[in-house]
Amino acid sequence: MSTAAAVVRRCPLSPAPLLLGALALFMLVFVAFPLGGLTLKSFQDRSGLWVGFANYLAFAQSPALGRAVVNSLTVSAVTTAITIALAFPFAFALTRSRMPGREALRILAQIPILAPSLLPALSLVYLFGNKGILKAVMMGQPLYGPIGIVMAEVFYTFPHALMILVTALSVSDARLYEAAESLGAGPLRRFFSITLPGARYGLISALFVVFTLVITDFGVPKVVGGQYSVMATEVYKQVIGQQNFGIGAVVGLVLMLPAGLAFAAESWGAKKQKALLSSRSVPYRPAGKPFIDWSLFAFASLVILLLAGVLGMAGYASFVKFWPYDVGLTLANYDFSQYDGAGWSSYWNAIEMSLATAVFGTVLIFSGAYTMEKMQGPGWLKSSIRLLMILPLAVPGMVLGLSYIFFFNHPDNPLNILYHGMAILVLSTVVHFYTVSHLTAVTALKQLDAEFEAVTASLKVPLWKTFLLVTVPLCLPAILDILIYLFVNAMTTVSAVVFLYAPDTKTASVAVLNMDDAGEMAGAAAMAMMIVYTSSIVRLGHAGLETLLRHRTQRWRERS
Amino acid sequence: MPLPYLRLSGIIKDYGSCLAVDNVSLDVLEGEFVCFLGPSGCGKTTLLRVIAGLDPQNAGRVQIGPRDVSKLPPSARDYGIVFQSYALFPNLTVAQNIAYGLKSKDKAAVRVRVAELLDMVGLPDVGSKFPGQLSGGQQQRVALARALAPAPKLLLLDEPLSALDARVRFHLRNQIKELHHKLGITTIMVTHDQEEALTMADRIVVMSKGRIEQTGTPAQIYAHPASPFVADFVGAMNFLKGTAAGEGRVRLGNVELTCLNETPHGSDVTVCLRPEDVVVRNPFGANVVPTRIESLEFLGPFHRARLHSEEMGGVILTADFSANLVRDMELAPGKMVPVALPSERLRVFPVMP
Repeated sequence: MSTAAAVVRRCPLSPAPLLLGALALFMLVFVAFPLGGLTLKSFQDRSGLWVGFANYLAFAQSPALGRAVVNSLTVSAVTTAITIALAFPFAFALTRSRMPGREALRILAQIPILAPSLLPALSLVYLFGNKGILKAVMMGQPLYGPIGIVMAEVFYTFPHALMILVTALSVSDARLYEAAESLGAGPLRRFFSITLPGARYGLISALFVVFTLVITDFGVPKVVGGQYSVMATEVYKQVIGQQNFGIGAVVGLVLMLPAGLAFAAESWGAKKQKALLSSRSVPYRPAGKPFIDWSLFAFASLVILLLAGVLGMAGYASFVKFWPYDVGLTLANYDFSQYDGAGWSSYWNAIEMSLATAVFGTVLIFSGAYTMEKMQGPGWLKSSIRLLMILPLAVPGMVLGLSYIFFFNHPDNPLNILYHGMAILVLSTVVHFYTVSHLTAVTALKQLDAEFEAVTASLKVPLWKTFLLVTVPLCLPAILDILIYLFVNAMTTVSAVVFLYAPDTKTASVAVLNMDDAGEMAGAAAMAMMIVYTSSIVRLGHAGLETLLRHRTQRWRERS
Repeated sequence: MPLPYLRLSGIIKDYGSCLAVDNVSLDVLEGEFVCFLGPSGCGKTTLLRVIAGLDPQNAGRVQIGPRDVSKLPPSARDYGIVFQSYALFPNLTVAQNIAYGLKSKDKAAVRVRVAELLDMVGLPDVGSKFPGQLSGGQQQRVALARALAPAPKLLLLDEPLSALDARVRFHLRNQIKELHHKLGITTIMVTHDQEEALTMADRIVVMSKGRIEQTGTPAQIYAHPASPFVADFVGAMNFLKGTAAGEGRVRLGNVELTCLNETPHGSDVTVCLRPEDVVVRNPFGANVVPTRIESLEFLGPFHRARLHSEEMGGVILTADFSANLVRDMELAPGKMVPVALPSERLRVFPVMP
């Protein structure tokens, strides 16, 4: 018996229970409890008394809220239609034609991702507002209201729709086209019988994603919405303005519906899309058709011109002395202290917050994904954790921010020390962008040989050694992607942060919002441009680093 | 008589939806080369992973050497393992891969050991290369060297050759066998390839549906399959329907054959005979039946014949005839040939109701 005991003592303790436990705890505290609290709140009145469905009834019967719902649905539907109408032919041109300059146009189309959603709204004010240079184009219609919202949202959502549609249209089987052609189908019939059905899941997914982005966006309607109230601004008004938490919670939960639907459509579409392409498929190589290719080029260039114009306008305005009376150039607008007591500190706060989000988030998300993929544990526990990891995708930033107020601001919560600090901003942003990063990490980990850990154990080498020596180096490209994704999104996000910042942790995007609110358009444009510059530099740095890595540390990828 | 080095008793592995290993007990002797053979899903890989501690069993004991390792994690057991995918670390060089499990802090000693292992697997010059720069067969040998580096007492091979093409597979089969001979290491190999098992193993464990169907030397398994499953899975086999006709006799159609039959008179039986055991040159003895050659299929060194026997109730008998036999006897489709079905080669199994 004594030998057995000695043996047991010698063997290393498995880290699985500890890691899974820690991960479960994090997901419970930062996803499940806050959202549970939000749901609970929707059944309580101002003093915290249980009132059943009274808040829901009030929501349904309030004419103001009813109008907000109708308005939200209207602008979301119109934006979705316009964005898809622009993004589909653009994606088609990138994937299914020999349009000249495809690579450059693909990169330029990503411009809007570098900016917070506030930027196009600001820019539109400069272009089409009361003192706008192109005011005549509006033919007397006011910019403030649905028109402004739709225009800004199209700019903001275009790259998101494009990315999904490019992925969907990239999946193609040349054999199908060859078969159709040999059976005598013309180009139009081939488009409607092969191309469109092949991309339909991507199309549905893009529709839902754009709709959700618009209906949950807060920045654009705040800047160009005017008196036109939508659900996202209504939540803000109810909670921050009127301290009406119960109603705010109800509207927040209602906002989760389209996101939930979008999420379901997305995962359904992803599953279907996979089945379309078999290992025997031959990728489709478009033949050059000069007329079509150049027409598509003209169209794509026009779209890029519009996107660049919107960004350029904000950029230009940020250097103009006194719009529109003195259009001389100056750097004075970048002296933020004249508009806002916080001055440049909001920019540095944003940098600090984004760095912390990127570093802490990447470490957490990658080790979390590793734990989920490689550690053995009870099935019910792992599937519960997985559900909580996927859930943030269906939670709009505003709703997340709202739920964090309720949960972390509660006087009985020992974690309320986090509230009013940088930590809550970082944590909420990590959770907000958790799912996409997690899926990136999982995809990278799934490409590794499943037996690395078994080999490690058989060689009696501790697991952390293989994690650091093999797993991390092999996943380095994905880890960098996650890092950059988190940084750029943390730089541009407003929705969750706007509920959670304190005077000394105000971030750049919130400062844009505040300055715009105070009528300081030039300062707002300058700060928005600071975000764009920073995101662009980080993206460029990422591209450079990737090239360097490929040459230096990834030598093993070369084949002899 | 060598002692059992590995002892499995009453192993059960239940995946909830299916019973992957169903009450398996087995002793593997020290220095023995044992193959787990069976179709995919028979539980052979699961059993290997139970031994390795990678998929802990629900019930039963695993004993490696003098130790009961039933509840120990993989790292506390003493074995080396090679997977079908090799699982070489692609970002480490071949030498770093092989040195991965070496504990010594002495760099020179590690270098010497790595060189020794590379020599042993016949790849002395690839130490500084990355796995991606090697062929499949070379990668397989590096994986073998890595598993053997810490000098384990037990070597587990999970379908190590199935990802390779036929020529490389044949070559590596011999190399692994030679290595086993030289090191005398107790080895367990999982395979679905009966030829691999027959040529490499000291002892074969045939598995089906999580159970051991038969354990024995390759010759025993081939010549005396214990069940219709083993008879069918290992080698080619004729399955003829008949009825038991008393002690040592079975009836097929109008013919009564003598054989080793212990099933009760009148019960339904399956009579098994390997195609190469059908005798056509000088047939004699009790079990000679007239047949007609239906077809002759050319398969290189031999022909596979379909023989029709009116006497045995119109059954089709498959028989293998060597090329020179076909030439000498001028065998051709349509020709009538009497054949002998040697009674000592006939295996009779009761038909399960």
